[in-house]
Amino acid sequence: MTEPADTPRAPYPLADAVPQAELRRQVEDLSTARTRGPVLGLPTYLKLGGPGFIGAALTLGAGTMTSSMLAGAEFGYRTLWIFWVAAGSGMFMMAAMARFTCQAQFDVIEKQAELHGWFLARVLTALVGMVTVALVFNFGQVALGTHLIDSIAEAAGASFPQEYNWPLYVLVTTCIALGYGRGGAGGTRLLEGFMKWSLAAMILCFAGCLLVVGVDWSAAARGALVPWLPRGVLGIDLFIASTAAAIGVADWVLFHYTAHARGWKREHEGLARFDLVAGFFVPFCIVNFLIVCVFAGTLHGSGDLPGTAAELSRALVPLLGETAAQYAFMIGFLAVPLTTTVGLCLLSAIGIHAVFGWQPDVRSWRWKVCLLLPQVGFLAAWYPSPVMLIIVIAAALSLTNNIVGWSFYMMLNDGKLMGAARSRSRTWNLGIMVQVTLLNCVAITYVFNRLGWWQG
Amino acid sequence: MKRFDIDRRLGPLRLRAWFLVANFLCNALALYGLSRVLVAETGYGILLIGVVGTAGCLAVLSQPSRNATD
Repeated sequence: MTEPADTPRAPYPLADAVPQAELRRQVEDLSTARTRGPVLGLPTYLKLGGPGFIGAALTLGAGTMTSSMLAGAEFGYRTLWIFWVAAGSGMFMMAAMARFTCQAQFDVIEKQAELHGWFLARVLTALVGMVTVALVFNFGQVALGTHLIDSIAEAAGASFPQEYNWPLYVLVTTCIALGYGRGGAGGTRLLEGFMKWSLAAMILCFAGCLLVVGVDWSAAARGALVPWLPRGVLGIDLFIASTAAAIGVADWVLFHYTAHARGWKREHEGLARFDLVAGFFVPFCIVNFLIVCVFAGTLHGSGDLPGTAAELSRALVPLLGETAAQYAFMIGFLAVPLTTTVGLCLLSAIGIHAVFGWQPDVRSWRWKVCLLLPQVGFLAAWYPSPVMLIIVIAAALSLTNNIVGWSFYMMLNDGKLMGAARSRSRTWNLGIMVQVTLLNCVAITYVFNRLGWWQG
Repeated sequence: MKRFDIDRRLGPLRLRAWFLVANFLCNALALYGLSRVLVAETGYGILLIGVVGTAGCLAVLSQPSRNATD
């Protein structure tokens, strides 16, 4: 259907694909859901949400899973509290992104370039915070994903090694990512549906494993509610790294643009906030809780631990005993890299367009090439991950994420820019500043480590 | 009583931005003090100054902007 000529252009071009009639219907549905109350209105909110689920799926990748597995295997249930604290402290900045999208209605990187300069916007936010993350961290996802396909085939008595199964991995993730923004809103709905169902699969599969392994509920409750850290520098490092790494620049900005791509406006801000809690915070906490508990119940106290997600899963699977539990773990775990790769493809395309100030057009070859660049990670099927490159990128991220945080905090509190939509809450500002302070600590401890001042 | 205006300009930046820089410096001081405490059991004073400074900056930075036309 053709939109009337006087229909205002969306602030982000991908939103032009969303019919105005559909947006109007969404606003009506949200209004009806609000009158029905939180319980009866919940299905409407869950159906209309999406960008939050993309964010959770992006964050729950091989890196986060390795940290959770190691935390469970090394410290048992005692560090469970870190995950909800980490995700919770990140929600304040994510809410700022929702405000920029829904009420301020601007393109955050363009506006940042205007106010704080191109270097901060295009280099630190878009290039370092988005593009390099998308390109470098997909190696780990492909390594884990292809390893799991190999393991599932082996458990079924077949042989489908990494060197041969990577095209399947790349094909599936490419098809889903390429559909984004196409077919009216259909492609976007497909991708968001894939993320939602994959998160549901992770939760169901890991919960099934936990049923087999068993859980010490009193220890788990204590671990989730009573803060504990290992003594000395290790404990401080664990706290700073875990809380600051859970939600970073990539998550902030991806949420902003994927919400823009849905055409969300002022009336959608409540939905955006709900989406952040139900789509991002809750799945993030549940998946990490389940993984930590599974590893606390199996590998805790078993001495030398491997350092990668693939090796850790290889060590765990035989301990699950039941064949069904082994399959459940591997299938649930396969959803982790699959969804993250799809998210990284989106991050790459959006990020590269932001670096150069290009208008995104999902039908253009430029968009498709930018989207597929992270798939160079298929090389991980043969070679180890590029460790030096990962170290350089991690250093750049450690040293710059906080400055991007400063910039977004300033924008949210800029009366001229935001008008009545600026932050008017002391709690909101404090929440953002707590996360920014944690990011400051990441940068500072990185420098202190290089200077030899931060060794226990 | 006149409220402290954090969005007043001071030199090239708004006071809010200066407090972000001050917060960063206090964070560094606190972590440096903490590293001394953990390694050599000295530096309690530096740690205290850093923590108090960080808390003060966070209290100031949590203040919302007063009006839309600042």
